[in-house]
Amino acid sequence: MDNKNFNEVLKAREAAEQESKANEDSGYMALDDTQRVKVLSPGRLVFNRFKRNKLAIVGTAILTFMFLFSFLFPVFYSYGQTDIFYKYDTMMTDYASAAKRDSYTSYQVDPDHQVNSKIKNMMTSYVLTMEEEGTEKQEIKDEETDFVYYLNKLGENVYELTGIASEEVGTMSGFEKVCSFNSKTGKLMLTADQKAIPGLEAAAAAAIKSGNTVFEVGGKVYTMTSSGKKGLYSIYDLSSCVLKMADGSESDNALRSAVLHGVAEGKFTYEGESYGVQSGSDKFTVVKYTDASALMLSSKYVFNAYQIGTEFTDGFKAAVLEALYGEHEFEYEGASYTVSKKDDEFIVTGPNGEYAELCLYSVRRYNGEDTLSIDFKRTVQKEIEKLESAGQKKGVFTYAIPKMDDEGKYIVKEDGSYELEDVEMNITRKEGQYVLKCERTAHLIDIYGPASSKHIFGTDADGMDILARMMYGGRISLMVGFIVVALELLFGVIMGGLAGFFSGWVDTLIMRLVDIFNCIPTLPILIILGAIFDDQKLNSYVRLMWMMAVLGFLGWAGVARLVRGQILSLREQEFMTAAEATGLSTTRRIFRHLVPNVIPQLIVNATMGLGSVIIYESTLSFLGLGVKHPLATWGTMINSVTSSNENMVRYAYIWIPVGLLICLTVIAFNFVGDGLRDAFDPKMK
Amino acid sequence: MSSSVKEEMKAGTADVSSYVHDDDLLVVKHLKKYFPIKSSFFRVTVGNVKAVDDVSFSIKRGTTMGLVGESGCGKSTIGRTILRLQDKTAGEVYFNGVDIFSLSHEELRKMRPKIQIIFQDPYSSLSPRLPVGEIIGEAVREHGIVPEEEYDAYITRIMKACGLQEYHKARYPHEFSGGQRQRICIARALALNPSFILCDEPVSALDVSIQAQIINLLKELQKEFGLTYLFISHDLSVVQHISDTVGVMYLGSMAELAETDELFADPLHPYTQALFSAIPIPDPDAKIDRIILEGSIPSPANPPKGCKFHTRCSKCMEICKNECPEFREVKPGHFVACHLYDEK
Repeated sequence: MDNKNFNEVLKAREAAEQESKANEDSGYMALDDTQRVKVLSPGRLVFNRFKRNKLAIVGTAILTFMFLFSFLFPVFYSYGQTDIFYKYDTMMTDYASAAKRDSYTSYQVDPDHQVNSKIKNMMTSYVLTMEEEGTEKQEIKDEETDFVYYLNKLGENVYELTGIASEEVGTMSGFEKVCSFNSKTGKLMLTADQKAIPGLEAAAAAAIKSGNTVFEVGGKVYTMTSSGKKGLYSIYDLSSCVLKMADGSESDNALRSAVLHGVAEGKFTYEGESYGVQSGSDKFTVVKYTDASALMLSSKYVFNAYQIGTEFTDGFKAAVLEALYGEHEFEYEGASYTVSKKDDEFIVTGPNGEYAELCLYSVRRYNGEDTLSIDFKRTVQKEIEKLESAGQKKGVFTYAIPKMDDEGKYIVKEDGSYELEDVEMNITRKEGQYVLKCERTAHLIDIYGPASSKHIFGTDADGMDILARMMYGGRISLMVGFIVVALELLFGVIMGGLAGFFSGWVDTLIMRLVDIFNCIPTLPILIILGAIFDDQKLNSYVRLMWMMAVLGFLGWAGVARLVRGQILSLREQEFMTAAEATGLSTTRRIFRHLVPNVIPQLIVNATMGLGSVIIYESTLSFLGLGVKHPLATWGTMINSVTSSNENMVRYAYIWIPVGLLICLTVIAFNFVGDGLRDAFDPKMK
Repeated sequence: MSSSVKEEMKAGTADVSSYVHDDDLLVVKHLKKYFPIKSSFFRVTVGNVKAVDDVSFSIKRGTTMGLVGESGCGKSTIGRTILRLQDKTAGEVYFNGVDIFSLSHEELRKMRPKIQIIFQDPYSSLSPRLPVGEIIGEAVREHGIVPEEEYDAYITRIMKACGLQEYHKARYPHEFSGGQRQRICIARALALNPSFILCDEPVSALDVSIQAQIINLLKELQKEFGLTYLFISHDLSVVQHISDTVGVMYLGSMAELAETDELFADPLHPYTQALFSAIPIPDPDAKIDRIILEGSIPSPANPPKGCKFHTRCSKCMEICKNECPEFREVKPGHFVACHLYDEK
């Protein structure tokens, strides 16, 4: 290039100027404003302009508060969004129930001696039939063992089951089968590993003839039993089996033989007593049957203890019932008791005075605690009788029951007894039983709790702290806002940028797509999606993600249109032509000249968009399409109290603060958006 | 200029070679630029707006060519087409012997600094979001005009040369007046060390006192850096002041082309004569013999047959209505397209 190099020319000129300046008065100050004008960076300039806007500052302050409120405060706030709170309050509680007993309960006499469950069931049904028909005695036969049990009526409401008791005598083991014998052929039948014993065949045939089942061959004693099939006998070597008696001794051959003969039938008689043989895999258990005795007792009576907390064993109850219509006295576990009748009840007196009472009414606490005194039970019984005689279904009586403090605990006096208070007890007949209700302190979920020092904004319908839910709800609302707007911007800028920069058919295609997206009715789509999400039973968080994705996907069209419009108008500006004429690369032209001119509009649009997305999210949650319980959002919180006008008035303290939060946030976003728009505009002074 | 190109040019059309000289920096040959008119519905081309219709000229190194004409006669289109800011329809543009339209995009980009442009509107031609220093220096850095360490000082020097102060660097365009902005535009063009600057009505948006400053600045810079200008304007006195040669355009065609003094002394084309008669003379007593043109400029989409000017020409002859006059050298260095000067 034959052009002069400008830099060189200018340098030379500067040098000349310097020289001439040096020749002039050096104290001369040029009249320019280098000293006066403070040059600010572009960012600083925008900030200064933003700072001057009072509304923007208010908006920023509100937003800062909202962010702190939603993201920082929950860290220090001790309640979570799903914590449920409880309180103690007096309320009409079901205190106890009372009913006349019409079913029988069976008690085992000897807890170690179990009667089999089939017999127990048969007994229960037979007792009811017997009571109906007035039968005194009933036979129950066990089909499996042929044992016979008897049910006896001992007196009113008391039945006794008697049966044969069995006692284990010993177990027989170690017996060895030598071979089988066929009496028809008179031959021994040997299997491969059995050895023929000389003389056994003849001895066996002789034994069958004589009817003797025990015989001796070659010094060994054998026994022969019918193995079930006709004419077939099994021969055992008696000397090898051991019958171990329960007392540890070994029995004689006669008993052993008797056991072996009883195996097939399962029972045998020996020395005038009956025995049973129960087959096991490798041994026989021999039991001795003893006389008929009481096994179980069945009764309608309810056992009430004089001393609260006393529990009666089945054995004790059986003993009482046995003595009831008999000797009126019995001994149980070393102590002697007497039974006496008083009015309709029976009273059991033990060594320490009155011990138990038997009556036909069962009175119980609902919570299962055994804290009812016998006196209370008697009172209830009398009240019921009074009601029944008068044919009424409801009644009230006053009774002193243990007093409770504010936290539902009993007040215990110094001497260990409960402090009592008079309570109005309502008694109502309901489905065959009587329900006793009274005012009691109960542990309740603190729903719709009013504002208090514990819950500044009170609690909601689920007993959750409203302040905590407002904080967590803010998190979700703000997060949804930012993510949705980010998605919108991402799609919008890419699509709008492509359309604007390339124009032509790309532009046409994208803009028609934008038109389509603009005419999609968002709300119906979201209603359908909400239904689908409901059907899929999605996790609350997954649902939230989906909702954000859908909102972002449906919302990009506006951004795309804005970006495209901006880029189209900027492309025609002379500074873009100038940038091209100066030979700047395409990327530089896009990122240094186009994008910075679009970004302010984008920021403003995004900030304003944040507000509307938050409103949208609240609307969706309010309609039940968005975030689901128990996740808190501002929309669902408002929704929870809008079921009726009455509710809205009554629970105004719930929805007004939440509504205010939404309003403030959206207004603040708009203020900040406006402020940013003004601040980004370089023409604004 | 390389000899092969020169030969090629000379071999091409004899009429062009007659005004192509060895020291020409820019040669424009038979340049045409048509804008298609598309039907609104099917996007079918139904006609063309002939913005530039067969224009040829050349500019000598270190000189200024003025281009005058009414609004819409295609002056700016010529400028933009020369810079290849838009595509041509036909013809060639040689810059320093290189056909600009034969360059690839990357070659063109490398070439860009050599041919610069100053726009008419100093408001829209500066990016509002960039500080002035960046506007001027951006392309300098991109093309590596000066070494990295000299960059800042260089920008300062350029700015000073254009009458701007160093502290203006960090300011934004909206903080400047129109004249200062035009200085920024000039500085931006100048910073790239160009040999040719297209001045597209650089002073028409400025008030008269500022116009003089800018014109003088341009002249000064030309003298100092040996720049070549194509100065597009509709202000004849400005053109007379700055140009060495002047081309007069009418409806997309060159009507007359001559040295400034020659043209102003002896305008040949009736249109030029009419145009020059409109120059105000700063003497209230002077008698102005104005030639008033009748009618208005015809549509470039449908130019008249024959001489384009015949519809408004006071000396219109029969031949003018049918035959397009040839653009010929009537006197040495004085070209005109008019049947009045046809050789008989």
